[in-house]
Amino acid sequence: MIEVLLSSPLLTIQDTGRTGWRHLGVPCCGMMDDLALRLGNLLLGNDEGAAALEVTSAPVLLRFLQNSAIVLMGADMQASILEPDFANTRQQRLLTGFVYLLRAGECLRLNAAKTPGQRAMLMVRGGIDVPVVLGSRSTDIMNGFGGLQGRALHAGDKIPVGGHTNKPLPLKTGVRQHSWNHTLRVLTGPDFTRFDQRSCQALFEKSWMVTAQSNRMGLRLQGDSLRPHEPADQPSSRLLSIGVLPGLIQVPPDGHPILLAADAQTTGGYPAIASIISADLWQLAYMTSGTRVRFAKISLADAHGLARHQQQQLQRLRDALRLRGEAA
Amino acid sequence: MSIPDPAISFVTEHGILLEFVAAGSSVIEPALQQRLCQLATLLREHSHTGPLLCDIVTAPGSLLLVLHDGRTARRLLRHAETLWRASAQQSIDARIVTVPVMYGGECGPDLEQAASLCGMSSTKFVERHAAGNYFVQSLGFMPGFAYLGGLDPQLHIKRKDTPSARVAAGSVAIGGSNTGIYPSESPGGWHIIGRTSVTLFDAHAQQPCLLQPGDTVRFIAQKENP
Repeated sequence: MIEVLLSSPLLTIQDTGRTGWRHLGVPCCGMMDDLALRLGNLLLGNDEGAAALEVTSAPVLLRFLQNSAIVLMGADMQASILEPDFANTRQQRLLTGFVYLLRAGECLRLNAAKTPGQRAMLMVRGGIDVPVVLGSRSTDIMNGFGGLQGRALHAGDKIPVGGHTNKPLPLKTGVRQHSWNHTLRVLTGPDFTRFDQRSCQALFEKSWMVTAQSNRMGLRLQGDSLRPHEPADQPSSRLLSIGVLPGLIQVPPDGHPILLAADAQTTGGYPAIASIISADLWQLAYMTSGTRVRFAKISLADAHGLARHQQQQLQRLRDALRLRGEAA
Repeated sequence: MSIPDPAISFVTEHGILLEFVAAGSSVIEPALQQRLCQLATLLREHSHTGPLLCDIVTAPGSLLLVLHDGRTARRLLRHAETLWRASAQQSIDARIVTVPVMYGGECGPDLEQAASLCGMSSTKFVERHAAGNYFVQSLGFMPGFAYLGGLDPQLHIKRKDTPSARVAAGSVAIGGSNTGIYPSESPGGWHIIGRTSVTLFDAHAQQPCLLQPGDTVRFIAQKENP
């Protein structure tokens, strides 16, 4: 068990999210940086998709009620391990991508991200063991199910942790947190040609600022205003809604694009001007109010190639960790 | 009735959109939508296509196919075409779901206004709404929210200018050319004409949704205080 002593807004339990239910209107949810989740879980010998904590803001204070192993990924939250009586800090400035061991009763303190709003992921050996709902342990905050009672964590919550084998953990080697550059590679979408030439150029040439009205459903951007062809020979919204996905860039009539994120609804009617490639989607976890974003156009073949490359990198890590486990 | 071959486009690198309705059209033939829903089921259940797919989202006049790997798109589309052609020969047996509704009063606060917008008495309005055979075009907006097609054109009402902050779970409503039921309490811009006590969405149930794309829905008007 992990006891939450101090919580912060949007501290939630997430895994790789729900698939196979979008036709019933059920969104994916899941860790905003699911690549980091997988890397951390691999290092801990967990199932790659085991549930973990997504930390959106700090400070957070957690007490581990039994001996535990953890990995932090994502934004550096200036984490430290405190002794059970809080009198001493046993370890300061934990690094992301390395395994740390905590003794029963010790506490983990996440102090603050250098850039507020950038997320961190906390993986625990054995994974967070809340009930699986519709194939996932992810918290669906909008619809109130999954995670712990379908909500963000509060002080006083006790989070169950799953069992694990006693295989030794690699304490001296870590995994690299991918560094974000806020440049998202995109494919043009089915409604790209609805927009006038100036708008199509602006999408790739201008930088876009993430506004405060952004959340796990979508990131709203401000910059140029994207306009459909004049005179409007086609309506600025689709007459019929279509199925939509995380990564899609929608443009409502006000001309300010919205990047759909993990909690995005399943259908929508705004024109889809472009989509973020899957290999870059994790970057949305580190885009916060004020972040400047740029879009770079790539081809479908390149997007498929990059997705495959990411899979291969994961596979190499799996193999490397397995070999190390066999050698130990 | 002939159905055109769909327009195919990549919405994301793993998401393929099949559009069966020309841009600029908002009318969906029930027969077309039934066939789309059937194609979705066939693709999901077929041993060659099911394993390639994460999700299939049915929307009015379109299907979104979400692949595990976008590079299998060509293979999937080839099978989809075969299944689509084969489905033309099959008659479709839609599942019929009946939904009891308490119309008006506390359950349907907007009934009077909706009826007057359509220039009829509320009794007549309820009679017409309950006489319809509706079909589930798609689910969206929130888990279990079904967009029902087949609404009597005389009952079409534009959405509210200002959405209500709180619509009760089970509310039966009209928005534009669709009618639908709110599975749980939420804000909403549709006109609330009644309420049902049936559960539409339960994340913890074996079958989380009462209504599935392609189902036929009939409303049964209930007497007060049954």
